[in-house]
Amino acid sequence: MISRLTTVIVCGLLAWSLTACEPGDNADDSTAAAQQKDWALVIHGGAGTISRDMEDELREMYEEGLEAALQAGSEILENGGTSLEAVEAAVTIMEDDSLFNAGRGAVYTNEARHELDASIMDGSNLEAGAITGVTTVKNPIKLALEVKQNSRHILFAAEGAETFADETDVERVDNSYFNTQRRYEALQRAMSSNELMPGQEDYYSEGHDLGTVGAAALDQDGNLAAGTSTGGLTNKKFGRVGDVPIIGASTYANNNTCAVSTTGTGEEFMRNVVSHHVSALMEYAGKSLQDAVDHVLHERLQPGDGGIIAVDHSGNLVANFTSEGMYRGTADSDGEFSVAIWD
Amino acid sequence: MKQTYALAIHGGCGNVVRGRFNEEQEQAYLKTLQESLRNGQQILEEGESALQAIESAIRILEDSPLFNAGRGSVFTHLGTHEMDASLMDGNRRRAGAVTGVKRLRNPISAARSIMEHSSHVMLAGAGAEAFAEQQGLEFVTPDWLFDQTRWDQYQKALGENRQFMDHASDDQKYGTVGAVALDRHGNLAAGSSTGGITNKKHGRIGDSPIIGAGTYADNATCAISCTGEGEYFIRDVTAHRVSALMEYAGNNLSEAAANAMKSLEQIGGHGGFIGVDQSGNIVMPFNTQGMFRGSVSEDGKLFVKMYEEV
Repeated sequence: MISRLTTVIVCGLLAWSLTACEPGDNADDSTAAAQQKDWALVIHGGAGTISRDMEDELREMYEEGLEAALQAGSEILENGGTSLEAVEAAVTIMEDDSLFNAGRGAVYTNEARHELDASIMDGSNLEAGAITGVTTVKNPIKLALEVKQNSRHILFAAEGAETFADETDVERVDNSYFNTQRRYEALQRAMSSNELMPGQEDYYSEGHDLGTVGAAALDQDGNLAAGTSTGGLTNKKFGRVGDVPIIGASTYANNNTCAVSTTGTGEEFMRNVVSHHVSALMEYAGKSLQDAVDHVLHERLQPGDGGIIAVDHSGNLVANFTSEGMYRGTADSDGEFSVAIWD
Repeated sequence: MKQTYALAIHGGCGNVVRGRFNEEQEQAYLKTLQESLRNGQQILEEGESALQAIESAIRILEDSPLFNAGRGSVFTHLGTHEMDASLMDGNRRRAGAVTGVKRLRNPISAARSIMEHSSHVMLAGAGAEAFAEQQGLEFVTPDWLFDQTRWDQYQKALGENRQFMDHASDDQKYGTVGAVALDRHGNLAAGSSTGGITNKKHGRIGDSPIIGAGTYADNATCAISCTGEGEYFIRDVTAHRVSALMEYAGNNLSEAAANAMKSLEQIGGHGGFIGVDQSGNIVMPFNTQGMFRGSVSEDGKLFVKMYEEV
């Protein structure tokens, strides 16, 4: 313990003198250790223009969906399961809920089909898996997990990813499984307003849900994990790939710092390497999780770009956003259990 | 116009082992690297952008059959070519990337076109080609991309190993090309392009088209292009890590490069990268036996190497 503390102090001094700490040592350990939680979980179901005039019934449906995902993940963590299992479970529930733009509720591409992306990362060994452009996988997060566990690669795309899925037990569905009336109407609106070409300024305005689902967790063994899943952009063309399958952009986890999942204008999250950026601010600038998230949201991203959820190695939870709202929920071993949509 | 300019390029690091190439082959590689550097230097000398210089330097490497990118791309498991590329403009931190394209002559130019003419960062496969077609980019037929050496490597990999995801042959495993530059206006840019790995399956995407992993540029810090076992560079977010070490840990470029290599090695990664900062300092670290690499700066001194220093 003494040597650990010494390391922390020395590292703090080094950080003060603007010299790099060894990766793995963190200047924040000393203060956070006092309030170490056994486990903690944070989830999101997308950020964006979420009208406060939403009907009560719909709002309750969203809240129930978030609570179900939060509950499933919390039970796993409470019973000593891994953060990776909790992330998978929470994301799977949101993928199966047609309210969220991931899995069942995936939006339509310009060809009126569905292409799904997902990624997952294990903070204990920095292993990761991701897939982009799959069309027949019921739960993309499960296929991302298969990539992580059963291949030496990280990211598989499109038909190749489907071939990989053939070699696993993940559940397959026809692409029409993802058809929903609500998303189809959104496609019609997007097409009729002739927003076909990316490049238009209002490409991300109303009608283009910045929908994504994600989760980040700390388990009782002190391991962090994060995962994200999406149905992409309504009316997307040209095989656009967003931030969701990109490790370091949307998803990142490292036991030494934090686990992060993002939602929002994917391109901005890619350019700013957002999820790794949060971790780097903790690792190299000695910032707390809250300060790191706020720094990226306010100093690097533009207002309205979206939101970030994160948990650090002490179990501190953050779910911040600069959009009008973000579907989200937090739970931990101290009895926290809540969901919210707006401020 | 400001001060100085600088340019560095790499041509991959997977198979650069002494004894593998005869002298004639070595000279051919070094000559192409020189040609690429001279081309980029001319652009920088005239005060053009770092972005223009790296695109142009990379196009020369893509058009050479020697390197695993563009024309020299290796074969996938299905006997086709799938190419990836990305670039980033450090001036406004804009970026473009393309993955899984099969018929484009210069994937790096498609990446630039995506950055400049779409609101997206990354486009994939047939969709990316449709966009490139709209933008008037040059397409090639499969015979442009056919190379006997690559075909022999592919047949060898197929024959040696039919096992799941294992392509035992080390040939060209880490082949990538890349460039980083500082222009006279103080702008940085970085780009990477690759033909992937021989006999690759499942639409595998490596680090080359991933902003933050294989490519990153920010005028406030540095421009980086990586080559190596892509999966490790993705997991360690290597290109962005170098930048973050400069921005948040106060490292200079060479300290940041050393720390990022150490971080990569902690998870068992092999490869290297090239980097340039605002002052025109250049780094080219690698932990493999060699890396095709070269650099040039305003004094005109041109440097090309392929093996480790002895």
